[in-house]
Amino acid sequence: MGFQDRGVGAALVAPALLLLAVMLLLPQAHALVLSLFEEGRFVGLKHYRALFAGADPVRPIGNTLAFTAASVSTSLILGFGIAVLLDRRRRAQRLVRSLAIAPFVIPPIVGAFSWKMMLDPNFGVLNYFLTFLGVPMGRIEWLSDPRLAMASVVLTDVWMNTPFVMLVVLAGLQALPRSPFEAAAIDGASGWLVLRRVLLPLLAPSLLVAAIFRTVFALREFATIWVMTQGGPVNATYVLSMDVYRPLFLYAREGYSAAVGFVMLVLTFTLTLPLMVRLYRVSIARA
Amino acid sequence: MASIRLEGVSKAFGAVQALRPTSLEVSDAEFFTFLGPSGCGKTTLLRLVAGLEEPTSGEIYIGERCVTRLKPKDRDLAMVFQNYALYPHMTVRENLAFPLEAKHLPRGEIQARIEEVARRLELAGLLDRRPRQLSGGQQQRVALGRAIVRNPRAFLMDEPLSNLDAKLRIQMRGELKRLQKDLGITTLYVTHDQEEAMTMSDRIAVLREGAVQQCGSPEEIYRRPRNRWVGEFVGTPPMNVFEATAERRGGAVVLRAIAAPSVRFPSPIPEPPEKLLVGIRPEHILIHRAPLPDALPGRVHVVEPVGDCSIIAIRTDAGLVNVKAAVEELPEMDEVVYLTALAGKLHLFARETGERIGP
Repeated sequence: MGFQDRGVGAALVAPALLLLAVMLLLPQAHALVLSLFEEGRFVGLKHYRALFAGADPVRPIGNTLAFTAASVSTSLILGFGIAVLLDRRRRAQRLVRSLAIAPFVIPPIVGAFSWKMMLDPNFGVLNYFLTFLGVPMGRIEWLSDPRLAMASVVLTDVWMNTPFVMLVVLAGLQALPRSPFEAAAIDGASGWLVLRRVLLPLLAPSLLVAAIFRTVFALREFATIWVMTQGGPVNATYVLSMDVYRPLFLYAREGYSAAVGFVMLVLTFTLTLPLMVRLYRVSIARA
Repeated sequence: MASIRLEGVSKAFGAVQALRPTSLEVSDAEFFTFLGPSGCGKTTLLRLVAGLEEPTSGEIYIGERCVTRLKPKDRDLAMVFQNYALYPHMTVRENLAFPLEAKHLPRGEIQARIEEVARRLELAGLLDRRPRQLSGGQQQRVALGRAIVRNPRAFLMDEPLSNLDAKLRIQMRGELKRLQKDLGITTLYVTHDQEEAMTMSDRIAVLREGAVQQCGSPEEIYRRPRNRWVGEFVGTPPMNVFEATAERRGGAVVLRAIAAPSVRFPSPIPEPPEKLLVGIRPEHILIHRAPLPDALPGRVHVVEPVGDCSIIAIRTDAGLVNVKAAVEELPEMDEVVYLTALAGKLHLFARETGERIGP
């Protein structure tokens, strides 16, 4: 491509880039500036210090990371497993695909509310069934026991998002050529060896795409957890998105909220960048 | 190394009968080819032996062991696929090592075997490349290497040369044949290319619509096709076939082409049926520039020189006749020529069934 062509190309994408800059970079820059102020006064990194080393025992960063790690890894494993089971089972696929899509389609608030009711210690259906195993009704406090609340919201989030992983992986699986697997079968490879050395590497692009999306969404998860626990009990499920919402809307601490928002952005980049680099490398290697 | 035996093996995909009940035995160290047009069931047959498909009926034996219900991985075979089926994310070295890792061989032995195969197939300089960095011919050699590195009981090859360009294909044909003889490993080979089948095989099974038409040495199949279809399928250009009648003329029986009654051939057998088909291979027809008694006149349609000989298509009353001849002076297009058949080179087939009549 000649220099002149390049100039034309740049001119053609310039409006789009400009629009992106206005829509994305300016608000971020504004938020960054905002995060350094409090009630109109410049306070430097005060809000960041409060977030990372505040006296408050709240650990929104830790909670967010724990929630993300648990939800993303579980939904990836489950979604991958279901997709592999469904691959090549055409009839089951149609049925399960339409059923499994339901949790993904239901609005998160509705889904979260349903789970909240199912997990209710006194009249929830989960504890009802547990009575058959000899657990007295009302004994397990799914959402009000600080040790269980995080697991409960993770369970709900996994339920909602596993279908997404399954669909992405299933599409990836169906695009894979059959012959390397047939070759591996004839080469005498066990199922485990095929999974480890052939299936997972070949499926890496789909898995990475699913992992990137899931990580981004889990890091900023708000609705599900808010509906179920509002961050409680004792802040056990208090995540960063709530640390943006609550100070801003309840106490009008916009500087602090902006700081948390900026940290979320950095966190998202830090966690997904290695995945994106990996995805880029894998795609280049296959091209 | 082992013989392979099929006993009444058939395969249906739903209502489609891909392979009719087939029995045949391939002996140890034999190069055996399934030849047929696409959709004839040859690949299905190979996949049944590999264990990638389950037969609808029948049993498959490798050596003395019945493998019909064994998984592919337990059959100890190696397969070369048409598209090579290399592992795209692994280097050539890793591709070659994979079947050995599956066997849990010690690392040292894996290295030794890879080096041995790399030397034999001239892959040494390519070991650290990935398949996409290789040419088609190189990928083909890696696929071959992955098959031989394991020292399997038999090789299964599904059109392994069909993705190569013509020149490389002919070169690999020879190398593959040599390699098979050197290793002495039973080989089942699938191809639609009759030249490939003829040049490489010890024996060929010709398949059509899921049924074996004829099984024999390349020479046998060429010289004594068991029916009209085999006669026409094997050989380029295809055999010329005419409808004919048999009649007594004096003491001898002569065959007369129905569409061109002036043409007569002496019958190679004493008592042919009254109506039959006569087949003549293109290389067994002579072209004359001057009229001859009993010759078939015709007009040259097209002349295709192919170096040492030429393929000449001639329009006659009996239809288009293909002639393959080393003519010094090629006839012009639309020139009138006269055709006679070499004595003793006729093939007779029954008119209704197309089955061969006589020796």
